[in-house]
Amino acid sequence: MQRRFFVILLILVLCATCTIPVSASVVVGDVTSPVTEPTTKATPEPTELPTFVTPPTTVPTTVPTTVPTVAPTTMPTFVTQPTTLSPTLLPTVTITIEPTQVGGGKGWIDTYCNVDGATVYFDSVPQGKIAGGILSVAVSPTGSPVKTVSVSLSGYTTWSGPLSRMPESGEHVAVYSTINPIPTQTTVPPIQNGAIYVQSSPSGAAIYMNGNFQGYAPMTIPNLIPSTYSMKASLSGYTPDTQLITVYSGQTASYYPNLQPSPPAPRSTGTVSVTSNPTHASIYVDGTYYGQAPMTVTLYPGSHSFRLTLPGYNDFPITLYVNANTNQKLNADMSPAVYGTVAITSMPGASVFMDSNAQGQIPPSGTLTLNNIPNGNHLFKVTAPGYNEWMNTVYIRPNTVNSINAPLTPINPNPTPVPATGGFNIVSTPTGAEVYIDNLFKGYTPATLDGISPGSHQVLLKYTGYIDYSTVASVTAGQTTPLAISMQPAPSPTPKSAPSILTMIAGCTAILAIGIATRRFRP
Amino acid sequence: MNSSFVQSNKILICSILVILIIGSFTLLAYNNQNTALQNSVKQGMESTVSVMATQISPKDLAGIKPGDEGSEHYKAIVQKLRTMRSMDDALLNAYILKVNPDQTVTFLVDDLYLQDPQGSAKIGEVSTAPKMDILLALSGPTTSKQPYTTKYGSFMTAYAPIDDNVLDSTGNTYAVLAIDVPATDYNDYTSRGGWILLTGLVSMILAIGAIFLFGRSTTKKDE
Repeated sequence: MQRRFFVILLILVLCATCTIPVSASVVVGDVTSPVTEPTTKATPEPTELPTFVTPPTTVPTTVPTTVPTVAPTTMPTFVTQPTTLSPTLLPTVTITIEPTQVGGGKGWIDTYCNVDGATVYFDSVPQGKIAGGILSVAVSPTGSPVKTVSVSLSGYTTWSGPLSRMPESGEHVAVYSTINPIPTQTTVPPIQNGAIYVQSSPSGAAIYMNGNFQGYAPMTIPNLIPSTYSMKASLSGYTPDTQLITVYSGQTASYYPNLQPSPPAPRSTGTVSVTSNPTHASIYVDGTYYGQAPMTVTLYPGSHSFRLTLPGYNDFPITLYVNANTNQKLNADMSPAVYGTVAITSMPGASVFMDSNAQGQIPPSGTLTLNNIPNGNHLFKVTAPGYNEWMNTVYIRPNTVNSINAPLTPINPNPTPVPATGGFNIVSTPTGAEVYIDNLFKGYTPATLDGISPGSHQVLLKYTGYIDYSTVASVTAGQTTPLAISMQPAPSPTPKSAPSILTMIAGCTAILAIGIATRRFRP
Repeated sequence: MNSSFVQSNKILICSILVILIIGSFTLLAYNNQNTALQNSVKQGMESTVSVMATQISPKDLAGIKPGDEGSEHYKAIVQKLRTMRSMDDALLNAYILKVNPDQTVTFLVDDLYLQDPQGSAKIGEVSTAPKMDILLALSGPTTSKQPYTTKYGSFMTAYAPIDDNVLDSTGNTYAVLAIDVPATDYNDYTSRGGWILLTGLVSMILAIGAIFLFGRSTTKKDE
């Protein structure tokens, strides 16, 4: 019985230890550690790194300044290293010279040097090598005088200097020399630029580096500072490839994008490149504002009405037929507006607005004259307290007095409330999605919908291959509510199915294990 | 006694096998679930920022220079970003980054300026977000590989290039639009596989319980 209890306890502990690490990973593991495949490929490390040669940094250049030249009163039995020599640059080893006999008729020329092994020459005749920082050479005071002392060593500069005087008998004359290493001719190579070689498959892809067009593959992008660059290869009909490529000094990095054919577009489109003279004219296509010229407008095949407007210029209306997979050019040469005159007749004292700008009040004569009004459509509004406002769009003909009659009617004490309306401006990715407002089809995105009653409305977007997008959006009277909607592709690999299958496998395995256990324990 | 010992060993081995098998499958399912959720969130963020990037004109950004924060032109761009960002309550911030020729990344527009002029990023301020993600965004929409932390907080960010969209453009990138989701929200979205762990644990307990029941009955028969 106790054994069974321990077995159960052991299994429970195993269960706990098996699940605790998994639970812990819920909190931190899967978020902080990247579980997705990295989207970038690291470029191979350079096989050779540039070598930098550093010249020697310490060069002994100082010479001792104190020279013990005073003749000793008593003959020394040995020579000691002068204590005033630079301790860091000259050897500190004290060497002992053989004791000499007093009155032997010899003097000594002590040649000090900072490098052991250097050869000492008296008048170009070698005398020996420096050892322990000194070479002491016995000379005859009465012999031929030494004129020049030189010290040399391979790899070092040669020191040479005159001997001040010949030593007297028993005297030491010191000569101090310093030789320096000859600097090697190695130079630090400058940082070399690198390059990126691009070969796409298939070839001919447009290559962008850091978002800027470079050319078409195959190509080499030279003179790149060693760094990491964002590369993109783009080819019509293929899915673009993006990678980070690291360029090392003096090396050519490789970028071999293997482009995969992109899935067919859900619906083919054509483009119209719109320019205007002057620029920045507002572009309306089928009544929808697209932006300012110059710009390229992508449209579905078919007939589309374009209208370009620019203050001070006449509107430029035109209808174009857009073909699939083609690009058309539209250059709108805007002509300066021609002005006309407007005479508005209404109740004296009423306020007059044109295109939402106040123009003045109706004078007692009952007619307000406005001069230099650009021709074209203008929205006029006349208001007076206690009266219903008058509002209308009027086309102003150039060089003409355009008469407008704006009668004002008193406000009905029990007016029938006419709700003002608002609208939606809906853009989506992808474009061309079906738009439903309160389940009524309204058109395709991008769409500007007017005449929507104020309040909340159900907005539904449908597009083949994408999940329906539904939301509730509010409309305020007199305002257009913008909606930017990104639709999610219909999930092909359903995340839920994988766990379900795995759970089933786990269950089946458990049942199998139970079956095996049962058969084993059966007598 | 010996027979009972052998039976206990068999039960123990079977139980360990069940724990290992079910535990492995549970862990695999949990990881797959998390991966799918993370990819889904990232894809959604990329789609959103891509749509928003198409609404920004580089012509509006061209003249912005440090110190222009209070100008009407700057405020208009900020307002435009705010309007788009406010479509989704999950988005915390939208801003535009400029990758300079020396590859430093600096802020150009921060849509938090109107509500927090002091706390928002200034024009020309260097971004400390992971630079490789931003560089990659010069070539196409992307997201941070994982949440990161700057002096402004911890975020998961999606980036999209703002095309220069000039006529006959070759598709050059003028700047990078970024949207932030709080790292805590991202973690919440992507860590919803707890039911898988629960299922695995329950499966283990049931399987082991069944093994014990059958084992005990066979032991009694043997006795």
